[in-house]
Parts: sequence; structure tokens; C-alpha cells
Amino acid sequence: MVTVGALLVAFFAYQLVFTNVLGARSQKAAEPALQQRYATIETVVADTIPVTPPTTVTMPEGTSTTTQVVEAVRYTEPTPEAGTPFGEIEIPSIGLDKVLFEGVDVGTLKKGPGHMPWTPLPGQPGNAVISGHRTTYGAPFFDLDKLENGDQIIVTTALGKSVYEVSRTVIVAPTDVWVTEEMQGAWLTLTTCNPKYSARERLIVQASLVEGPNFLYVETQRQRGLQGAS
Amino acid sequence: MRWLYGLLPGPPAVRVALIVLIGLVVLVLLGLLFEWAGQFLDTGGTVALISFRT
Repeated sequence: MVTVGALLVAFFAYQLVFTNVLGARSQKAAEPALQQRYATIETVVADTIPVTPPTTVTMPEGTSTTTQVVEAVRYTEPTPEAGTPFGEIEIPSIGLDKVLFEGVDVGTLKKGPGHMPWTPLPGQPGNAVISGHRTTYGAPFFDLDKLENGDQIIVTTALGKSVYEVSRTVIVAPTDVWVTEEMQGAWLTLTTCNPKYSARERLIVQASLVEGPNFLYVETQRQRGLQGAS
Repeated sequence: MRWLYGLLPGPPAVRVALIVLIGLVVLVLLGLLFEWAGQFLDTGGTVALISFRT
């Protein structure tokens, strides 16, 4: 009985304390490689589509110029190598700020939230999927259930900042891969275990792009789609 | 520990070395066991057609 008790205490200490120390260490260790990626990666213009009618865009604070945009541009960045850091995810409403890694294999998710390689990178059109631990290895998505519609999720990559707004939260089975399927527009899907301390289900948070380097492209594409449908 | 020490063959130095070795093996096995059992707490949250615990 004493041995079983000691083993249980050791197990929970390992899972809820030791793995979180490892997770925090991996996050810290990833910073230099991430900064190097930001400094060396060149973004590429992948596509342009005409904006009809031309849209006037006010430049950021500090400048008074306005620019008439006649073309919406889609910028891309090179696909990161498996297991390497490529961006950051911030969710101010739950105090989350973590480095993102490429891949959702067991080893990569121990370092931090991971991007599913067969989905578009965050900031790109389509459905970018990111998975993360709920209670162990830094527990990046511990408070994901507290997100409400309209909460902002900010993803920074070599492209720049892409801002998403939460639009729905669902609980699904671990095999419900439909949540990763391609979607019209630009979406970010976060997946984690549910409930806390169980892998029985998955908590899914989906958010749509509201600001970022590719926002005008996505919005123009959406409007063209609507025009084509009517 | 004393019980184990008594069971082991050889001079004291060999017995101590064996105990250290056994301790390391037990730690590695415990780590593997905890990693496996940890999948019941948290898999990393990804979705897949073939999933743990289904």
C-alpha cells in the first residue's frame, strides 16, 4: 500500500511538476533559434489578386499618408523544419505567450504548441491547426476553455503578426479529424485534451483572421467568392 | 536496501555497484512507465484517425 502510494505521488510529481519544468526549459531554449529565423527568413509574394473597387488603406500611426490598394497580395514564408520553432502564440485574455514549433509528434509537443504540418501555416488562407498540452509539459492550453467568442489570438511568424478572433468552441472525440479540414477564409484551430487531466475528448477553439499581412488577400478572395456565388 | 544488499553476490564494492546499477534501471523503467501512463492525462491534444484512448 505504501509502495503504491509512493508510486502515485511520484507519478503526479513527474507529470505535473517535472514535465512543466522541462517544457519551460524548451521554451527558453527555443528563443535564439526563433529570433534567427525572424532575422534570416525572407517572405515571398506567392500570389496577387486585383482589388475591385480599389481600396484606400490608411497607413499605421505616425504617418498621414493613405494608399490606394489595387492588388491584394498573399505573402508566404518557407515551411519550417520539423521540430523547430517558427513563431509565437499570444492569447492576452488567458495570459498565454508561447513559442510555436513545427509538428505534432510526441517529442515536438513536449517543447510547446505544435503546428500540424499538413495544414497551412498561421497567417495563410485555409485552416491552420495548432495542438498543445493541457496539463503537462508547460500546459500551454490549460485555460483554453475560458476563451469566449471575440477574444483575440495573436500569432507572430516571420511574416508578421496575424490577429484572429475566436468564433467557436466545440468538444469532439480525439478521432474527429474534420476539425482540421480545409476552410474558406483564414482560420486558426487550436486543439487540446479535454477535460483537464484526461485525454478522453478534445477541446477545439476556432478563430478567424481579422488582421495581418494576408488579411486583405483573404477578404478580397472571400468577396470574390460571394460575387461568384450570387 | 539492506535486504537487497544481502541478496547480492561478491565483495562490498561489487554489491554497491550492482545496487547503483539496479537503481538506475528502476529509474529508467519508472520514467518509461510514467510517460506511458501520462498519455491518459494528456496526449498533447492533437486529433488523429488512430488515437490513444479510443
